[in-house]
Amino acid sequence: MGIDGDRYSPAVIERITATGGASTSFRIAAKVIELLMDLKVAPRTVNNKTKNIGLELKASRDKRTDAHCRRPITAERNVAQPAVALAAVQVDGGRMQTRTAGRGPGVHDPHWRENKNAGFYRMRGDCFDDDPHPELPSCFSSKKQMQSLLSGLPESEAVDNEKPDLSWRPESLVRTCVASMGDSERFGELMSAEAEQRGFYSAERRAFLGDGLKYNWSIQQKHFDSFTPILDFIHPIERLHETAKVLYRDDVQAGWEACLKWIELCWQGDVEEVIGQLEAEQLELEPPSEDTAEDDPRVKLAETIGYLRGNVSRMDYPSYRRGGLPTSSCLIESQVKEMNHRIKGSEKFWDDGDGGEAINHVRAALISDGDQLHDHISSRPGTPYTRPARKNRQPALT
Amino acid sequence: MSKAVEARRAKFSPEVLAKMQELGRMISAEKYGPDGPPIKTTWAEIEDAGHEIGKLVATEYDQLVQRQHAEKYDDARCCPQCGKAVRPSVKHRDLITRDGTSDLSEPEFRCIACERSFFPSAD
Repeated sequence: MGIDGDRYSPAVIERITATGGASTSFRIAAKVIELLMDLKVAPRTVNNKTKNIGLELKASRDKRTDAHCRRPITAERNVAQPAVALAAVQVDGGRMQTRTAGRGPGVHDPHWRENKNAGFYRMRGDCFDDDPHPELPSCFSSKKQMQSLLSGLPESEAVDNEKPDLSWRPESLVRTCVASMGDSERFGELMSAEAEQRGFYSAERRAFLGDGLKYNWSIQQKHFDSFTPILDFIHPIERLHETAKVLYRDDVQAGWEACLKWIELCWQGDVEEVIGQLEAEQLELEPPSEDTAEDDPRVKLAETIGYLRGNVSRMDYPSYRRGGLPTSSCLIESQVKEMNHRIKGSEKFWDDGDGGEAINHVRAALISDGDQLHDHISSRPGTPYTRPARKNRQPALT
Repeated sequence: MSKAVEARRAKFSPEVLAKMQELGRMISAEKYGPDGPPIKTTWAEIEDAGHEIGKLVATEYDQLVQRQHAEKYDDARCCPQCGKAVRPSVKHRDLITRDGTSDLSEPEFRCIACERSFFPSAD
């Protein structure tokens, strides 16, 4: 029958867990459960149930991952049905506030921890003989629109109503999410197992997107070497903007114009030209010393040149557009925001350990397409031994 | 009738559907008398009452089917720990479901040698 010693039926546990993972707090979740299900549950119960299921989800994923890591090297790759035309894997880090676990009620030793997020997107998109959009889209050249992304831009001109034609971009069809507080070594394994389960390794076209963080590319090289590595286009924009800001401190407009020129060059795949122009700027300045401030133009220039040099092989954007591959990791950025709606908040402190890990797994299962949570709860084995006694049971007659 | 209701009705035989209608008529007659609800009745009242009926029917159904299922565990079973044959008994407990608390009658196999019970309903 698939029931265990719990007081709640599997269907109720699923609803409690889903509400615990979806609401802004366990207290609100308890209220929502009462409203929707006519069932009084203590916030602590919602917390415990959510944590338990989260840890079960983690154990199940760990088991699958271990089996994947132990598979023979000759094992055939899983092929998805229907076949995946375009598989995109995107990775990004988030941050959550944690506390040391096991010290009783209250926030003990509050500290920030990174949680890693990965998105697996089955996509649909065309390939092109020529670059489908060689000119920089207006969303990147419009000061008005870039103001939400970049700080310190000059006042924008009149409202920009023109919407760029983005129909050439690939479209996401199905998404699954993985999130964990584990280290990058383990996270890479979790990602690889998920990609294998989705049949991504046998997709016709494959792309791996991330920002400039080194561990992203270590994961790509170790587990996704057959995927085209692509640096999220937004990331160099932010770098170049920061560099322009310190180089043109007295003339914001001139800084934006220089930045726009570099962004256009990157869009057109001419990153070497950007590096050349930045090096020319560098030549005009004296080399930085060890005690030069972080926001000194010379330091910023050196950092940005190093960053571009390190990522130039992942910035061939015209080629990616021709191949119908995504060039921005906006999908994973949105996913991190969805995770943060539950996990991040000035008043939220998760146990640095099981509690934090559990909410990552529950939330990732909830925001994934499909029925991960339902599938897990309906297939979890019951315990054959423990059963609770009735609270109001009658005393024995003898 | 919406497609969702049509699909739900399609899961039951015409006889069962007729019984459900009959049940609705009986409850309405008991609650409001032969003339039906007073003119001031709000939709919220009707919906609340209907929902309560649905939950009660669901609980009765859950308990009935669970007991029918439990009767299939008549034979002795081997204790998973010591392997000795154990005769079944019944353990009653509350199970909180979507429709309220059900009285669950689980087949319990109490192994005297191991001093513990096991419940095949977990399978």
